[in-house]
Amino acid sequence: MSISRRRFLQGFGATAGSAALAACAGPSASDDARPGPTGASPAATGTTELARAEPGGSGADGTLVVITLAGGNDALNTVVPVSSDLYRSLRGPLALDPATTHDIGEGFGLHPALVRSKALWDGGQLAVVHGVGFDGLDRSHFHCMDVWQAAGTSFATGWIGRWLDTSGTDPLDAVVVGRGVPLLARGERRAAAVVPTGPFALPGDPNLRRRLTELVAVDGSRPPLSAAVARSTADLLAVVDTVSPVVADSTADGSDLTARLATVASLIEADLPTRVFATELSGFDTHAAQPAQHEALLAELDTALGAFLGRMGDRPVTVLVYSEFGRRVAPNASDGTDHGQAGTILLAGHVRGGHHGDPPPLDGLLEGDLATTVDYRSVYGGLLEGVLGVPATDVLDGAPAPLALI
Amino acid sequence: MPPTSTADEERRDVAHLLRRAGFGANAAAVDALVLDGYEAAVDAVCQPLTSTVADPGADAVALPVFDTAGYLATRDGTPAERRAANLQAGNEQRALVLWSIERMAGADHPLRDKLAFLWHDHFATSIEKVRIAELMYIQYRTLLDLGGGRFDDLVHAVARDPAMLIWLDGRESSATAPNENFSRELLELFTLGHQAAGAPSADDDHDDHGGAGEQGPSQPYTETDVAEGARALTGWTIDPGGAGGVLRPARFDSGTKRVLGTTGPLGLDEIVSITTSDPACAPHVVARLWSRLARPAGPQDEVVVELAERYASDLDTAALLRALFLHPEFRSDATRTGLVKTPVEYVVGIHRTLGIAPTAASLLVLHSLGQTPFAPPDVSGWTANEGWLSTASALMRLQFAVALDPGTALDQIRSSPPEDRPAAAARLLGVDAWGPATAEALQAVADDPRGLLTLALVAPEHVLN
Repeated sequence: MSISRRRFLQGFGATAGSAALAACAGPSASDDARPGPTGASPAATGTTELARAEPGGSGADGTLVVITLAGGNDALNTVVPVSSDLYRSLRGPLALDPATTHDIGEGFGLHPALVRSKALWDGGQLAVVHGVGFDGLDRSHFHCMDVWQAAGTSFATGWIGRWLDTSGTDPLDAVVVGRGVPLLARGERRAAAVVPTGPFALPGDPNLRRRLTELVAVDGSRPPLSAAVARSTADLLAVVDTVSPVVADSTADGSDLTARLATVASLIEADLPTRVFATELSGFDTHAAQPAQHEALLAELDTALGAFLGRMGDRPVTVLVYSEFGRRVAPNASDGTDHGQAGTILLAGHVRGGHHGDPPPLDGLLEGDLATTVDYRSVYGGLLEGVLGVPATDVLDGAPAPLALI
Repeated sequence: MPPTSTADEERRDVAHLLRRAGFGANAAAVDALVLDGYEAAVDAVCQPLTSTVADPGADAVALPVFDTAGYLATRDGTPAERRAANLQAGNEQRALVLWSIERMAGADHPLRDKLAFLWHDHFATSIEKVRIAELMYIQYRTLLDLGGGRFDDLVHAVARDPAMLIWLDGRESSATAPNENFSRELLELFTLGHQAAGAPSADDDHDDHGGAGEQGPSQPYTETDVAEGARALTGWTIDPGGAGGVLRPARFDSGTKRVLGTTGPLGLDEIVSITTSDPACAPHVVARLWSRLARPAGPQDEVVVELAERYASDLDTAALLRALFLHPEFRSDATRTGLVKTPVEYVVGIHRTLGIAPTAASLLVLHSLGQTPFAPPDVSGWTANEGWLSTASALMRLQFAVALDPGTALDQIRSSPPEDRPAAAARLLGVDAWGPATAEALQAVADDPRGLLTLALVAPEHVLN
């Protein structure tokens, strides 16, 4: 897949990140640590020994890239407890040979396919957060994904969407590279712009822009869904001239993560106001013939991450990689694994590298699954404060204290 | 009110019915049904589901040619054979997608194809994993043939359908360590539904997931039901000689299981009967169909509960659809403005109303918008409403609208005097009326019929269903 080349941009450098985003006094998340409906399990609230983030409003001005691994990534074979005999006996035929993994200390090794990730680890650019989940991880793809993406008291909005609602007004503040807007990027008032891989430009008719602008002019008589259609076209008109030259050389069809992250890289290099990007890699529901599939998926992730962060250099870019749940520790009969509970989060780029959180004990499984030791919202909180520079409490109501991850 | 208002309302209602029970509704189609009134129109739309009445328009679409044996013989062969097999699989897949779209565009009674596609969305199976186009065709044929019948008969057929056995790994599941994939989705997605424990409540008044309201209905199944169901569903594989599922007793767990309160040496047929007769099944299925045909709703919503009460007695889907279309709520303002056209509805609707045939460009826009038939994103099917709205999808619709060749349909706009052209476009596209901003924008381009058509195609009133 060819990586889209950056086109030199004139006139787009002026739109620096909104300084308003950094305005942020406000209470620390730790003052309000009652568990919500998606609250922490007792184990998760006991992670007091974890490093805490400074109270919100650090003035951080980083860029966050969210990668959703859809289908339930097998955390246990991603960051592997290679020194554990229990791992080998419980995993049976799916246990990875420690000698093939990449040692990251504390008894863990990265999956053999994560070659570039190991280099990131060695450079202090990779963090592993063990045992991440929530109370009520019920092994349903769709419920668990909604909880991860909403991170709130309802499924009406997502956590990035609520960040959009409380910050800035530029339609490019958050960008999804793909086709539709996932729940995580939907707010009450705003949603992320969506940019496909490949060319992104209005058809040539010179009259079209003016006509479309009139067509989707504000009209109070439109019912809500009709207004939402008009807004999506209005947002298109607002962003297309900025985005079009950036991706004009892209020929990628978007079928792989490397192409999607290359589009993200081009948009970052163009110094757009965008603070959050989101994209997805799917196929992790490995109920059968897991080893080859999982290896191919992790290789795709690893290749894409390596190329992307290599291109980003010293820019303050942080990548969040998460999945809706981890998988069952014991394999099934099909050389695969069924749905499990806690998972492992990877953070790459501008992060506090190393191990975070307590690895779930293999001799203390919860219904055959890894138990949650870290509430997922404390990871989000650490990113909101450490990357986006806003108090976690602006977005996460009643979440446990943010972790110091950046 | 002018004396013609009742006739106008009837016309509006019939157009709404045709859009929801099919794909698009141009003036000629409305004319053909409006004379005998709304109830007769509902009967006319639903009747083909329960009869053997021919559908010359759909049946005229030639079946794709499949060479499954050739594909299977070469897909694991030499590099050259594998390349040829991949090429063949891609060609067969495109032919299958085009066939389904051409059927929808050409059908005289589009509800049968509409319903088959809704069931495809419900029992969402993807060729990305199944690989064999003919197996996807066989599954879709089942959805076409049984879609209007009893829901439990449909589930019995789908549970042993070869594509489904591949898609959710049923063929891999044996007594020694059952695979939970099909069992979980049978309960969670296909029959009972998932009631989110501890999720949205209180301040949530925009919840489009439906059903997760403050009443907090309890989850209709447990993890034990999933695991025990998986044991009962073991042993099914694909008959190597034919195209059906077959039980291989040596791989079946013949022991006693307990699923949803029933205990015994349960197998696939018992599990399907138990789940489809569970009280949670009818509301779950009705909520799905109501959400796709009327407006988003959950299993606890009043109208769903009301329709499900009758549906539960016989699971007769044709009767359910008739009741659904006749329900007063179906014709309410909230319902009329409650759905965004899915990409398939948008594209097929344009082909039907303009009378133009699907082309490669039609498949490309479906792919770009994210709704290629036979390739849903996952087993929960496609998104809805706001999920289809984004800067990217707005651009894809616009590019399709600009590029298509409207043929002689444009004459219906061109032949009207300029001041009537926006209304002529509304009649052509089956839109009830334009709102003030749209009407003004269309009037401003009245001297350019082709430009007017482009704007009308991407106008909010036309993007809604």
